[in-house]
Amino acid sequence: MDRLVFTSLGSITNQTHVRAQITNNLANVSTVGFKQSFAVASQSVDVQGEGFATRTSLETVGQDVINLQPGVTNRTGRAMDIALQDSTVLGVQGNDGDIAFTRRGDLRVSPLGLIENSAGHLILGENGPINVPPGQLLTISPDGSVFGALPGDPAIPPVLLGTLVLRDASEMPLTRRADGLFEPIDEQFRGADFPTGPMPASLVSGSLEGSNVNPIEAMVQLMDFSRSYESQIKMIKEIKGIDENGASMMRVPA
Amino acid sequence: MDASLWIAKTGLTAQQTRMQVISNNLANVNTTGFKKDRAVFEDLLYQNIVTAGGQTDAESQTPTGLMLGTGTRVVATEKLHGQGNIINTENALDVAVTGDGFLAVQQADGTIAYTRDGSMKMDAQGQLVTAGGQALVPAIQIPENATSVTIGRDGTVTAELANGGGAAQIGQIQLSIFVNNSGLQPVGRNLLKPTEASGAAIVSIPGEGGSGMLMQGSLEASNVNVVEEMVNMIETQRAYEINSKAISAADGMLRFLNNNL
Repeated sequence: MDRLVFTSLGSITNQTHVRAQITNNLANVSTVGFKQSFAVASQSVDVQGEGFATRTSLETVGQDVINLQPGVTNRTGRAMDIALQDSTVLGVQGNDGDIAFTRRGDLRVSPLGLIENSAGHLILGENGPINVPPGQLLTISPDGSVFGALPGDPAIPPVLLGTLVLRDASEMPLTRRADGLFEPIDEQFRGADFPTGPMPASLVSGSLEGSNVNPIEAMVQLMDFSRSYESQIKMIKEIKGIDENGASMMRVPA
Repeated sequence: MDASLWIAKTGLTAQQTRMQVISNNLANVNTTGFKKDRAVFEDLLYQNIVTAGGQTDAESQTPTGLMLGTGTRVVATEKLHGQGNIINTENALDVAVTGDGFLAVQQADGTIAYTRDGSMKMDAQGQLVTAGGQALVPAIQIPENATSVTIGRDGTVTAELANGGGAAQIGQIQLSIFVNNSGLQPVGRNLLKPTEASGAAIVSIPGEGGSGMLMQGSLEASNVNVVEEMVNMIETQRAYEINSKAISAADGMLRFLNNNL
């Protein structure tokens, strides 16, 4: 068969990845603190072979850099809901024990009395996990300090329980781990803490950041890829016709 | 088949679950002591298509990998234990808890359940029971010759006795607090049960050790905010539509493939 058909096929296969990513963004329009990745980059690769050098095929290259553009912030009024500002990320402990980062701010107290998020990841403090004694009323200040007070005793000043690991990632590109948490792309800081950037790392308590997926943009992209897919199928159909014509011309008359 | 079909399907399922949670909140807008739920979304595991750090040639490596997401799911529903409005009922046996803490009640199977619903009644034996007929723990017996009952902010129950019998302290209402309120398991009938996640109950006198106070003659209304739920409902509906659009787009592509090849 003509080699042309493989060029079209290669293009379809690669675009499948992009569509899967767009659909995943759409599926996560309601996930707290979800960040979409920058679009999958494709590059053209020259295909060597006999004949003229006209064949270039499409290849998807890895470029899963987290887009830290803020999502919509919703006011919930719950003291343990925090919305991270600008490019601030929050340090958590991944299930593999490594330090990873997230934008999820729906915090809660675990049965062991430690602060974790709703996805069950342990939140790290500057001096290890933050322990919350029972009955404490928590407040989280914009710089990430967690204060606990006993509601019955207003005379006792709030006690500093720990400080959240807040890092400004405006100059530190982040990538995604298989469990959806973020880690620095830089080999040197992978699975570890990284120095905070020049912007102040801050949060707003009593609010939650939604997903930063723009549904309109994603829908338009999806339409674009649907049409592109149809053109590729049309192309394959044309090639099929050319091949059939060739075969019928060469047929030995009965 | 096409991966995006299944990814969009996870979105539909999750939004459907969220809709159930919202409907349940709205249905309980007048339930005494009800605490609203929130559906907690989480992105599913990622598929590694291109590994980060793979060699592109002898000298260079790919700086980042290509991770494809596989959708979303509702990982949990979380009860938000914010304070509901305090409604004055002027009924002497109604108590509202202001602040943290639950009233403990005895279940028929011998276990103890916890509630924020303080609309108490007297049973045939003069014991304080909840609207569901479950006795308070520790039990409080109201004497037959009591003319009025006073419940203090710290939970002391005093009865004024008839024929100049004077006031007598007849019991103490206690509050139970938990390390993680959200970990309590709702079992219906306004009751919650402790779990591994909530930790064991810490019993204290109201106002001590971080627990709230009692307010006689009042009830705590549901903490569902109708406007908020309506907005959540609109958002859920639109997110559902978007995901079904993604399914129909993938479906259209597959149909085009079948019709043309």
